[in-house]
Amino acid sequence: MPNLWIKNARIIDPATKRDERGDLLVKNGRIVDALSAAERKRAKVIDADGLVACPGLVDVHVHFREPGQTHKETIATGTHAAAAGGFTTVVCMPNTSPPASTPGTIQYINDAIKRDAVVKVYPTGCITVDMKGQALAPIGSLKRAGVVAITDDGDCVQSNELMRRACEYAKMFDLPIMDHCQDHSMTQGAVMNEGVVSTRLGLRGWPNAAEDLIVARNIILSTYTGAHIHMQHISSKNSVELIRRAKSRHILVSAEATPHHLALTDEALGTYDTNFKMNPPLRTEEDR
Amino acid sequence: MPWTRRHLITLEELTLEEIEHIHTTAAAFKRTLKRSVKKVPALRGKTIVNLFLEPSTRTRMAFDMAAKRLSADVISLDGNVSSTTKGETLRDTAQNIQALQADMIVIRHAAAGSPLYLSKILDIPVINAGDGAHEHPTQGLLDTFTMRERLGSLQGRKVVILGDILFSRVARSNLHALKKFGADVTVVGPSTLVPPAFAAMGVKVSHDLRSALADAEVVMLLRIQHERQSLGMFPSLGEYTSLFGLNKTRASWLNPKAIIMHPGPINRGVEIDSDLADGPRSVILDQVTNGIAIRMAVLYLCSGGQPEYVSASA
Repeated sequence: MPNLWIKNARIIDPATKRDERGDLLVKNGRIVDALSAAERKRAKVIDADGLVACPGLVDVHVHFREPGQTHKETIATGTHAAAAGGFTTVVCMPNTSPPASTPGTIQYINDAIKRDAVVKVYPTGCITVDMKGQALAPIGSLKRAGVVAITDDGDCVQSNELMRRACEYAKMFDLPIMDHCQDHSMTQGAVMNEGVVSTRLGLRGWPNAAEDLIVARNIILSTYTGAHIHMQHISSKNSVELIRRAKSRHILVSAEATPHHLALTDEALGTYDTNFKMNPPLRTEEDR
Repeated sequence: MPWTRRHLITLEELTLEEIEHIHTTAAAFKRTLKRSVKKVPALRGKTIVNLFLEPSTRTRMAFDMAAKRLSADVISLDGNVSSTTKGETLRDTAQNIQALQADMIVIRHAAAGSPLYLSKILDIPVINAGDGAHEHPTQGLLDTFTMRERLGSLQGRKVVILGDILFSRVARSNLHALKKFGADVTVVGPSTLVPPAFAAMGVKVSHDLRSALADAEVVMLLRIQHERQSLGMFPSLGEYTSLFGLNKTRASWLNPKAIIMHPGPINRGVEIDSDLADGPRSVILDQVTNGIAIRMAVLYLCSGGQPEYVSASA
């Protein structure tokens, strides 16, 4: 790999709180303070005016749809997209076909990662067998196969008892549990956020409360079992408030939000454009 | 020119002038319905396709009747005998109908937003005959037409819509139209079916029948939309009727000159007592007849028809 001279980038390094314009020099694959004049002459110059140079971004929630749904995405296309956006490490979800609830499927995914991925990919495994929410998946074997967390993302374990046992069991392996927080009984047939917009459009709504309730459930179970629960794609302001308070009491919970939930609201659905239809749905300006 | 639209998708987007223009055109067509030769040649040679992917009695027949009175040819395609049962998409169905040289599509569909979608992908006019729980524009037009016929100006009139508002496209279309006419609208029913969010649409929300109906000049009943709602929104039809059904006592709270309306179909004895549905204050069947004139106006205007022609032949 040739030496690099990245010129005039906006250098952002959160770890050192650095945010300034400057040059970056890379020698033999490592960032260095200086290159000799001769090295500079031979270096590949990248004009980074208008660009950001930062440590590789990490996305802990991606879907690569492999195996079984490769018409939507593959590890190859997904990791290329990640690289194009500056993401060098991603964590992929197990709601594939079949769901990644056995070590065999994880092995399949790991092989595909080795073969096709252009960035680092860490797999996750399911909490329950076939993501059905009925019985614990072989979490120990999934850990040995290399998962970094367990989740039924796409779905949500509805049974509090089962979620509790999953928390206790996964704790043995130091595996965080990631949860897509949705009470299914409250969201049957829902296609967008429940509110003024859904009422005007005549569409079934997905109330904030259906997420808030599960977030509260998870905070209680994390407190009770000491397991780390990570709340996925939080969309409701009430959830944020609950998690903030739990963290201030040092409960082992963390959370994430998507770019679209930070940027858009349910007003975007005014023309019934299904490009804005997602789960959890876009919510109000207050939630945003 | 008061009417320049090719499609009729919502009443929400129409101006008051446009709605009044449709009413005026419909009034002229209504006069032709009483003649012995009931047809006008306005749409002769045109073919209108009714694409009804949800059940319908009134709307479907009224559109059929309206098109025929305008001398258009009508073809009806019902969902349950079409190739949609073989998995054909709405998009393909509509594009095929256009390719089969239809001049206009009238669509009823369970999915809100489907007529808007078709209006974007087709070249021919699209008329919304009811999309899910969203809007039923010709119903809102004929309802307000009927109100104006009976009451004159709707400015400040107390209009009450009673029943399952949440799942009702008729309620939504009427709300939009009535707001533009300056009416004082109250929606009333069980709190699970009449949520506070409707206040944002400019109407009063109430769960108290006594105060809502007091001196109302129009009461419009809505059927419980059991095909659209899940169980558990309220305990039973029996409880609904005992709490919110329009019976003789409750009807006595209305203004003496009040009219009783219903878009149909009626569930007799549930949202309304049989006697009231058939009684002297009921304009339910007038609504149905007015529905033909309104739909003649809509089909005519969206085909590019000139209203002066209508008045001349009326």
